[in-house]
Amino acid sequence: MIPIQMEINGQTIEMEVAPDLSLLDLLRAVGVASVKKGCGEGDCGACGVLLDGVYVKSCLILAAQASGRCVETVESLGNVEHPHPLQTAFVDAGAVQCGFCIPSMLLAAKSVIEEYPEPTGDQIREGLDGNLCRCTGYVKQIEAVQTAARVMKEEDHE
Amino acid sequence: MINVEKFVRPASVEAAVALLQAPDSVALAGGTGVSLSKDPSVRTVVDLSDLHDLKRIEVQGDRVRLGALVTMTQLRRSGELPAVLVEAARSVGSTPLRNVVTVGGELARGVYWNDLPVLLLALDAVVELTTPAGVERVPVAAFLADHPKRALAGGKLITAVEFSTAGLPKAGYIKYARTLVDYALCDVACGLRVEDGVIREARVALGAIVPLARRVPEVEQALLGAAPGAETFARAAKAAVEAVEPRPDFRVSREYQRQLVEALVRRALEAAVGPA
Repeated sequence: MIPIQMEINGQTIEMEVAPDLSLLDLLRAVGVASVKKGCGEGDCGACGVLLDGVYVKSCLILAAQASGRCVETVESLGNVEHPHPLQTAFVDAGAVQCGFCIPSMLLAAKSVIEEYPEPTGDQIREGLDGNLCRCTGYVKQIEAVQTAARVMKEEDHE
Repeated sequence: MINVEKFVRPASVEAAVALLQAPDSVALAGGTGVSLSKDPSVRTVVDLSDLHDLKRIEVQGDRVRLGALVTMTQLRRSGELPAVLVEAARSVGSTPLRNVVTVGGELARGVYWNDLPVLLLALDAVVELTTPAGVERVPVAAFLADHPKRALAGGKLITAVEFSTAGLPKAGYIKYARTLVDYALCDVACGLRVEDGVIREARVALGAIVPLARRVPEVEQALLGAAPGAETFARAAKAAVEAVEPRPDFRVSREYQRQLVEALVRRALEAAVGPA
């Protein structure tokens, strides 16, 4: 077993893990249920998290590899009382159907807006290209990211 | 990862290379390959995360040095690299993979779908390997020729990739896949030096349609001494079809693969010389 410590959504955890435990399995074991295990081999993107602010697939990162680093999941984004502009925009646009892919897609979208505050359709498509959604066809989600980017820019100016 | 007992994160290249001397150790860069490995012989994982010197891109005049831990996303965003390299980096996987996949990992893995090595062959890049005895420089063609596993045997660590943009001013790269994020069906990269309207130097490499990326000397011969243009490129593309035995691929037929090679070699050559 390997001793690790990391920050998950602002909370520091310390524990011992098996060397082959993935960050995904660690997150689910400690109760972060928004991170989904879809394919478990880097295709579907339902396990996407921000690791030191960088959007990655947590099924392909070892828990030990993430030791000493900072993990953010959708739980850190907003909640029902105080939703993040991305969450509001996704709901308003009808960009959510079954919802399985959405937690990670919101984090991918957050990375896109951080890099491009006024993202074009192509920039959004590239930023979300690691997230499979089998319900929506992506059109509403791309609209939602553009809407959220506008709202976030306005909030910045206020 | 099934029998791994130790997970270590060395603070220096020297310490990493010393740890890699153990035959049951494996180097961990982005992790996209190693994390899913079921290799029962691996007992020690050497996590390269803290080797920050290997995360730098250095451009000095026409010399480019990519640290082994430079990610595809860094290549995409650098702003000072040749457009063809940015394009090849873009073609690797999807955004969350490009955020972690490294230059060294693309070379060390040795699987058919590694896209970046195809372009590095056309650029005649040199792989810098660090060993306990010092530093070795191996042309990427030689590094891949057998298998990267053999080139790295004895605990060598890829620390950088270097190339010059001066020798071959004209380069082209094409990845062909069913979707933007799928594994390639075929990659083609080429580098040409044209003087007085004649091709003086040519490097053409294929990937994905062959088990491991390699140059195709038959195509290069067909180009040398000829004038760049539709006729020459059509002849070179035919030479590629003759020279290459496509890897069996359940996704497509042999006939389709042959047509792919011909069309993509021609297009990559056209892309290298630019619009007429």
